[in-house]
Amino acid sequence: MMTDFLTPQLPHFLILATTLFVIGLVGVTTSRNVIRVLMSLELMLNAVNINMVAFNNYLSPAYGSGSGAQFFMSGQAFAIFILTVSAAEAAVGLAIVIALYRKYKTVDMEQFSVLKG
Amino acid sequence: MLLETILFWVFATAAVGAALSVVFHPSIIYSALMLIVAFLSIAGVFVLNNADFLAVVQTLVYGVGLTIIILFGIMFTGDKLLSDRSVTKRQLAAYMVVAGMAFALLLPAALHGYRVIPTPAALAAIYQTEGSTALLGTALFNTYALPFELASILLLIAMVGAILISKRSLSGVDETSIKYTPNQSHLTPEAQEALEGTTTSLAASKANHPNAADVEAAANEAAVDEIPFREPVGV
Amino acid sequence: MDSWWMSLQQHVAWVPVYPLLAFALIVLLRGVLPATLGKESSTWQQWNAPTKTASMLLTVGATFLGLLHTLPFVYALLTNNLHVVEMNQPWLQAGDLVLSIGYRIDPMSVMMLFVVTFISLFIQIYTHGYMGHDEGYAKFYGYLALFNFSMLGLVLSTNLFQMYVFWELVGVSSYLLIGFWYTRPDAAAACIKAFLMNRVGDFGLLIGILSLLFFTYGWWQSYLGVHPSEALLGFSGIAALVAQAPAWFKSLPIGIIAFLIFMGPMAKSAQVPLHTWLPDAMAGPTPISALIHAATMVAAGIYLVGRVYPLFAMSPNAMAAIAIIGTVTAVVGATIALTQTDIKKALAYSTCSQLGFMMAAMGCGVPGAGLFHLFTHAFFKAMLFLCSGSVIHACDDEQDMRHMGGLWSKLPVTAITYLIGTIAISGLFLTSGFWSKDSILAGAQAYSKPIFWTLAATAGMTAFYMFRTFIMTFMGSYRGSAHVHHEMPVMVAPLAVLAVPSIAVGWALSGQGVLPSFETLITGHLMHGGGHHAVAAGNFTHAQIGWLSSGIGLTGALLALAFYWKPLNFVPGAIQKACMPLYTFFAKKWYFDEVYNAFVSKVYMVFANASSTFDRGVIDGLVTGVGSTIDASGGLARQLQTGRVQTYIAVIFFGLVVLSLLGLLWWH
Repeated sequence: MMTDFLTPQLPHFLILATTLFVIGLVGVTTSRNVIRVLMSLELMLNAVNINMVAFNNYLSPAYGSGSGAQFFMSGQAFAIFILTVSAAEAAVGLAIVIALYRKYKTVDMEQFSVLKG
Repeated sequence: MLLETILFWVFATAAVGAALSVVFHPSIIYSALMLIVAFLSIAGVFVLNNADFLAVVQTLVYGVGLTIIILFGIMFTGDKLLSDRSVTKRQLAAYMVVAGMAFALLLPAALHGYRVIPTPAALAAIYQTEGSTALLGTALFNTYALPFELASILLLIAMVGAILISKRSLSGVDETSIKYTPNQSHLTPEAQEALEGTTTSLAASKANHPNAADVEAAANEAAVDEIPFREPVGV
Repeated sequence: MDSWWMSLQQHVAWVPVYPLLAFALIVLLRGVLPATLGKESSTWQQWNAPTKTASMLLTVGATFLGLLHTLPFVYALLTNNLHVVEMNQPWLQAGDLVLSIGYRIDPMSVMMLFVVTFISLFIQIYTHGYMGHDEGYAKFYGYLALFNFSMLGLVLSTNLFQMYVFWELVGVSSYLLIGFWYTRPDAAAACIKAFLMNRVGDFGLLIGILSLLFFTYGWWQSYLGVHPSEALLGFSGIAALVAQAPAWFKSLPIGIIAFLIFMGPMAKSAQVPLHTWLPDAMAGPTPISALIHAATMVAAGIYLVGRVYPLFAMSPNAMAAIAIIGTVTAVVGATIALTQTDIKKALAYSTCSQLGFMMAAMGCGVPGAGLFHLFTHAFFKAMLFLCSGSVIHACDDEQDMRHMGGLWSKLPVTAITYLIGTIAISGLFLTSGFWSKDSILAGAQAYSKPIFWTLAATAGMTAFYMFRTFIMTFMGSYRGSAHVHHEMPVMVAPLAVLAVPSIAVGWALSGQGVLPSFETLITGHLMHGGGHHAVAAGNFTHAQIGWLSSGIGLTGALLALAFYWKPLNFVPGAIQKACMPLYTFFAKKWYFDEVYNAFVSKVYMVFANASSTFDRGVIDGLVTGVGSTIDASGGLARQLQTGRVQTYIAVIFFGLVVLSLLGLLWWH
């Protein structure tokens, strides 16, 4: 069938994830606004979550034999954890942004060059 | 199968388009709103992968909670809606090359997925009968019980940390704006007077000014900048 | 009694430590006292006063303690009760190479301990008067204490390495003290000259020590296995080494090593051709000239030769070289001293000449005589220098004898003691110089006739130039313009004390009185381990030599009177004129400095310039090339350090990508 490649398979999800990840990477490295950097970071984390979920769906362990059913949700479980961590990261990150803003009166990444020796 | 295909392409297009807007749209508000679109599309992709529960969590935590936090952040800081890139064109090109390399590296790995056996029919049957949420719950509360609890502690710590970092300070003085004040004995008498003047006016203004710490910091800064130094004697 | 004696022996290491503590305390005091006592209103002089007194008391007290500690050993030595005691402590360990530090009590070290502490004590007392108004008074005492520490440590050394360490310390003290008035150009130049000259000698000494160790390391290992309490390169071990050395080692290496080791004494004891630093060193304060450059430090070279004498005794060639160099030094020093008009320079060349006598005695195989002369010379030469200091002090820092004269009446004590010293150094009338010089001449007679006659003639010159200085300074009428001050009691008292040993010590230790003779006291120990040079009978008996040298000395003295004492001035002008070329040659100091300058400017500088060009062009080019390459690459890498997180993220991802690619290549 000519439209076979349109049918979503594992590679489709992986390519989608890769695309989102790279877009997020570009955002993180080039944005001038701190908040946009944070948003791009969230995009990257979501891209990873897509990977996790897709792998869970397509690469399940041999669940059929015995009590394997307990293990084959690891992908989704890890997605949950990533979600948790990224939520925590976003909260702390925004708190830092606010503290930074109070100190420098700006959210311009170019002003945050104090790491320079 | 057709429905799945259509939904996938809709979600994928929406996610990529929204992500591009997040990164490249001039207005930060638009970016934030587009982020919601991206999150919701990704939630749809989760559904396509038999991750119903995750899709719901994604919608609630990312699509609503996180975006609202980000909108609040924009509110607090967004007096300058910076939109342009923080890099020169040459650097932008370099970053694009890096990103392209990352993409080029990941792409073959992704295409490798064609070789993977598709979801077994038996698993699909389990999803149909039991639903993935129940399975995920079983996994989380059996195998991943300890990480699950640790995640809750992490969230607690993050909450406390976020409060502490963004809070002004316990004493009411903004520690982030404390400046070094030199020993006043080395200053000229006029300078000392000037310094005393700023502190008294500061005390007065502190009482009724809501943003007293900022005033104090500004006063300190002004005093430090303006006071003429005399060479230290008798050292 | 026994336990008291034991503890005295065990604590002899404190003798050098007293002055070291004094030095440390003075350094601390100079830093602390001004801070605690100083008020902004008080002057420098006011707050300096307690520091001055404290430093003087500390240094003199330390030396006095050292002298007290030494005296029982001297008593034991004189009553033949002294036993050789040696204690070694491991100091530096590298594998099975263990260098030791320790102390050794034997006749030689006791003799030197006594000389150093005794003369130091009186010179330090004298210093109080001489340096009383100097701004560096406290610093001067600090340096004196440092010198005493170094010198006493050298005297007590048990092995060549320890001695080398203290040898260099002595050199540093000497450098500091010569350059004490470092703002004067001549003093600054003199201290550098002394240091460089000594470096030449010390370089040879170090190479000598190292090559001795190189050749005999295995022997030392087995020897120390049998005698674990002794030190590597220890002096008693060297005697045993020489006795057991194989024939091949005795044939050539031992001579070369002995000569290399001798290079150290050659510089330190101002032997030709490394003698030119000593007269220049007179730019230092006079007490220093008396203590370091007449009595003690320059004698360290003689002492070192005495210490490793068995090594020298095994090599006739080295002995001959030493004897010839000593004799030449005696002649050169004496002839130059004939012409000097600066009183201190004249005494300095006299010191040079007398050191030549001692060294010649070493070379002639009579080390006892050489050390005896060292012993007596230390007293009267220190006294002579102190007298000159007294004269200089009284004449407002005038050193030129042509502007003195007739000081007999104004400085009576100085004049009398100077006369005593002059008689003693001339070897007249049973004074101490008479006995020691006779011993040297007796030894030289047995060794070689030319050396004997040269030394005898030099003894006559000694009398001539010494009486010349005496006549020019104290007799006749005053020719200077400065007002002559009175003598200070604190300065003449040490003179009077030193006059006693200058007269008596020679007779006391000549073997004629109740005490044993110096040579039996010392030599019995020196010859331990094999030597052969007992004084053989020559043409003259000992008594005849005594008469001979006295006669020569008297002739020299009378000649000096004839030339320089106006009432007796009967030397015809023609003779004086005939002597002029010789006089000029001597007055130009045999052109040693000129030759050295020419060598340095003509020969040495060519090499130096060539290597400097090489160094700047090639070596520096390489080094700076490396540096600038690193600098440039650092500048490149620096651009990555923008301080912005985003750059860092990009770089991290770039690295990640590269690593992943490499990983892929690796796994496929």
